[in-house]
Amino acid sequence: MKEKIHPFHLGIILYMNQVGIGLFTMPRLVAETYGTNGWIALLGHYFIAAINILLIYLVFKWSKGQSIFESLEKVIPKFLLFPIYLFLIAQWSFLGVILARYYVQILQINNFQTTNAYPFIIIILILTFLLVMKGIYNISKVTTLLFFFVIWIVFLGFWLIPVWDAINFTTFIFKGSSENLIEGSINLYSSFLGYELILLFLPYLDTKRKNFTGVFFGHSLTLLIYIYTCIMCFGFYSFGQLLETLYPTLVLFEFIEFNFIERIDALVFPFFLSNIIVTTTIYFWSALEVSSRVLPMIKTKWLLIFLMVVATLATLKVDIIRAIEAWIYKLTILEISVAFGLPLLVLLVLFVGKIKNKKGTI
Amino acid sequence: MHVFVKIVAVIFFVTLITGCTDKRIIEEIAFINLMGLDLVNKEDYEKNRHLLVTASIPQIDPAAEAKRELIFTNAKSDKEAMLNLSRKTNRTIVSGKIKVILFGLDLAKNGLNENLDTFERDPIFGRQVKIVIANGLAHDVMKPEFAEKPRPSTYIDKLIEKETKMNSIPEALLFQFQRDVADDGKDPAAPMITYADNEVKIDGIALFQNDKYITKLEPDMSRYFFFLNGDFSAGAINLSFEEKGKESPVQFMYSALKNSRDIQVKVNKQEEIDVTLTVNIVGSALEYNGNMDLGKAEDQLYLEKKIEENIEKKSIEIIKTLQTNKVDSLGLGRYVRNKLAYEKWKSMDWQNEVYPNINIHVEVDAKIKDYGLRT
Amino acid sequence: MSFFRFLLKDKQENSQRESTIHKQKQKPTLEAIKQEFSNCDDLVEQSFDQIGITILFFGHLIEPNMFNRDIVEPLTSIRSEEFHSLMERKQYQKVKTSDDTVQAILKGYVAIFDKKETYIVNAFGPKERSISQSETESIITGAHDSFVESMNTNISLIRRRLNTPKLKVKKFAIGDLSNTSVFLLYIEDIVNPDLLKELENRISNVKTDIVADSSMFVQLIDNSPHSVFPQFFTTERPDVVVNKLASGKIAGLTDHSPNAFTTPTNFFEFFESPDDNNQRWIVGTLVKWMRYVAFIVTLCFTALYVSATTYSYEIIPQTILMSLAESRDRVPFPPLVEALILEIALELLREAGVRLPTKIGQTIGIVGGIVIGQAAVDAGLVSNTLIIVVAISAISSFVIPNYILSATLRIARFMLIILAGAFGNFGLVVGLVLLIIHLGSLTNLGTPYVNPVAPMHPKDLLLYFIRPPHGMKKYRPTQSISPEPDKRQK
Repeated sequence: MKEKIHPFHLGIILYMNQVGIGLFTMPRLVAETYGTNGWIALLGHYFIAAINILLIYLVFKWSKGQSIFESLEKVIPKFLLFPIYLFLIAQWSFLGVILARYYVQILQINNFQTTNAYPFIIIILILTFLLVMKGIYNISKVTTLLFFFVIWIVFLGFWLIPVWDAINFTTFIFKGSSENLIEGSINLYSSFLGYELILLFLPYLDTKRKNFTGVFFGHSLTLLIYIYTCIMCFGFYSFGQLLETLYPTLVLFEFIEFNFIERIDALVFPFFLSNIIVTTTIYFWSALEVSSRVLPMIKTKWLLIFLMVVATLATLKVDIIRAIEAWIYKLTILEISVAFGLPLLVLLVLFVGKIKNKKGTI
Repeated sequence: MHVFVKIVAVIFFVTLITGCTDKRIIEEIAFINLMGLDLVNKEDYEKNRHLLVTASIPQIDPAAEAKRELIFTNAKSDKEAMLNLSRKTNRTIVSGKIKVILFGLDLAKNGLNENLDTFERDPIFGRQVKIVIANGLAHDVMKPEFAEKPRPSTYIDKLIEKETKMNSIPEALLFQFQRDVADDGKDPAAPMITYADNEVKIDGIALFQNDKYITKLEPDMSRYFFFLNGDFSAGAINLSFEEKGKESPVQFMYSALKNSRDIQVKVNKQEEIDVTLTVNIVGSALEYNGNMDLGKAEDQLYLEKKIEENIEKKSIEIIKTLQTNKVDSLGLGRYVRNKLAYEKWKSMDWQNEVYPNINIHVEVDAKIKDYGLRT
Repeated sequence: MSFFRFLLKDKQENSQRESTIHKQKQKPTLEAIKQEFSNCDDLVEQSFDQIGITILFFGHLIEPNMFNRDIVEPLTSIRSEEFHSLMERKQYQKVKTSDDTVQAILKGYVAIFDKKETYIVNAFGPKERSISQSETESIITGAHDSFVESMNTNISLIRRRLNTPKLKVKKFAIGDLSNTSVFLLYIEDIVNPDLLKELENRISNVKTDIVADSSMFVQLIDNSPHSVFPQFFTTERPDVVVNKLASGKIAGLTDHSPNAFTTPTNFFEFFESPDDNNQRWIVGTLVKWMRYVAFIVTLCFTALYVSATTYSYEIIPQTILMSLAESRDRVPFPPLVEALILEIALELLREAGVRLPTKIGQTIGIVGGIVIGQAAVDAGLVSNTLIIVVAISAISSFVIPNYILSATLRIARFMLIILAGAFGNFGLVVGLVLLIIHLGSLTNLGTPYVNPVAPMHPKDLLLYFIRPPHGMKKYRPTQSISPEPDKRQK
């Protein structure tokens, strides 16, 4: 792979990876967790994630664009790394499949209530497979196209302006929350997750370019979209109503009507497939990157099929929304630990490597 | 690239084996256009929670003589009603195209929360469904079919839509109604219609306290309600007032109105709340049969004064009605809330104790923009 | 263990196709050549007995005036000892091998056989179509000439427009049987030399018997032969080719083909028409946007109809829903089948119209469109709304300036319709995502097919999504341009 990913595309990948189903529940989660005007708290999440991204930046700088696996394997013997690798493979494959399942579940609230969910999941996995097999450079191109394929949805918000009323915001800040703060913030933080996979992108970045400007651009774009959505919802719903609405963003679209088309939620929600495809693709791609470290002799095609089949079969029983949300919650906690732990581990290893090198030279 | 070909093949295969149980082909569905919910027998309702559910479905078969199918049933909820109703028609009943939901007066008095809850939960309902209260039974409003008018469902829908545009009844879409029910600083209001003298017509504004119907405003008062309710443009108002040298009251038509309203809330040291509603109206004088000369500036000023007095009087009347009935349909609570600390707001009983006793002033500023083509 | 061999990564193997051409190196003699052309009854043999000369040529490949001037008149007027001095003139070339002679005769040369030596002289000049208007890419304002089947005319059409020695032409001979000349044209300094080298490599690796047309030839050198999308831009118009050359692209001309191809190509080029450049820029931009709208309509409209009428009735406004339900009421088929029937009927109609002469073609249009369409609605076989939908998407497909792409889109449409029939709006989006994934990973000469969008080149976006005022067109698209920036503006 001689092509390197341009910082702009890196940003777009990050954005598409972060924004997903979380967007639909976020305004309610924010209201539940932080109360009135809770959207301000998103800034806090943003900064925590930004600090984490800085850690990844340090990794990038110290290792000079080297793959983190190479850095790790230089210092730690491979058999010690295998458990970590296996954990990462499982974690990321499960996340990929569970997110696809979550999307299909919500899709089926509206349409195809009684149809078996598997054709939908299989289709999503096939599209993911197709995309992963094309390699990371093509993934970045396709992601950019998919970004433009869905970004117009943002402008639909303008049709809500007539019913949007600033009085619904209230002047209270962080009052009337009803949910456990920690649980709520973890759920909310899952909407920012996705940046941790930048770690695996490092060898595909051009060390001469300002890659992390791109990353922060994507990260800020995510925040912008989230805050925009929340502001739309907080002005559209009264606070009490927002707490009652399960998927506030979806209902927002239910409200928009044109002369020639009504109820555009039925059209808009399928479009979010592109965000889901990108998210599952990036997770499976990451799992695949790790797997080919463990089993370098096997063709990536079969590895990927194996990962997908195993992850799907393992989550066979996770087919109702309650179970899926519980899984996502647990996976989110694990993923947050990965997001902070993995760069710290690599930094440590790089540090040790440096000391060893110095000793070696002396 | 062979992979691509294979995958297209696989997708088509998956496509073919999918069981299509969720098809709703448009000619095979009966989309309810107008739904009415009634509480017929109060005792029965308390025991069995039985509602009379009436559904009006446009007939698409050109062979059928009637323009719509009207079917009704007794059921515990609108969901159960769907099951019952579907036994009465050859098509699958769906509720995704409901435009208007009519609630009977007795049901509205009993509270609408339970019913609204199901509408809110079911994703198939649009949020632009209009909530309308029937003065009497919804069933009675839906039943008559007029030869000279369009399908009753379309008729009611269009009637409400037009009147909302003219600002004589409030817009009460499902989502707005829910928003106001869930908001602790505002109570919902909905249009009311009635069937009387062989015609279906607008019958004022139904005022709610949370989800319970309390009272209504007569149609001739609803215009004044709108001056207080918010900004609007369009609509007209007919004023009549005494004038020297005229035996019968003078008629004054004030039309092409542009209204802007402002609310100031003052809380003094004794925690007394004082609300001032400032209403600015600009309109044209199109009909006037009094002695004044509309072409003269001082006479215009005099008439403006008259208009202001008139509107202020009626507005105070409306506010008194609202306060005595403890309905905050103007949403004053939201403005008061913004002036108070969170704990203070939560600790007081706005609706029942504070609201009926606060001072509300109305200041009207009316301007005659033009006076037609005659001096 | 060998059972699981398929799981393992392959070792790369290179197999080289053996050359089947047997080179003849022997000296050209009359007998040998005649042997080579045995059973070619169109070969003409003439003898000039007084000087002992025989000539061989194909009568249909030569131009009579040239033949008279260079062969008949000199050879009849000289004596045999003057022959060698005559052959010193520069239009006569001496050939050394039998193979060269055969090739020359096939190319329209006349071979002159002395007792010892063989000479050839060019008399090529068969009848050819004169320059006429382009049928497939006709425009309203601007130049009307288009390429013909003759290479000389085609290159001349380009050279006339580009009076610079920087316009370079490279020649290749492709096809074991046809031995067709393929010319690559480019402007030195502007062109990206890496792309040129890559293209040259690909062309010299082509193994085929015949090259019939540029549109066919480019399929031999593209990256993804299984893709439904055209990967090289082909055109009949010299002004388009000149524009592309000026923006650093490489143009290819194939002998006997009125089509030129240009490369590197991106998807958005197919939405351009030379008319845009001749219009005022605002009008040109709006027309361009209209084509993109047409692209979306032709892809999605019928599929959206199928999905809305089968699954999500709630997105249709009430008034439309009523008339739609009324018109669908008598139709015995589900919407998917109904739409497929009508779409296929329309494809038949279009294909029939293409093959028939213009006048009968019009009759087909009337019979198919009006008579059958009306009757089908009256008989209750299809709904009249669907007729409108299908007609609009068909018209939209004709708005796309490139015929090959518009045919591709009609095929892609079928995929979307079937997916929409199975999965409603979700299926429709799946189809679109599938197309995006495919388009996103296509390449042309190694450059991305969706170039100015992904990878993003904001300046190039202006070139493809609006038609900028000519005064503002100061840069050339990044996709094709030479990487050395100081050379770009020359």
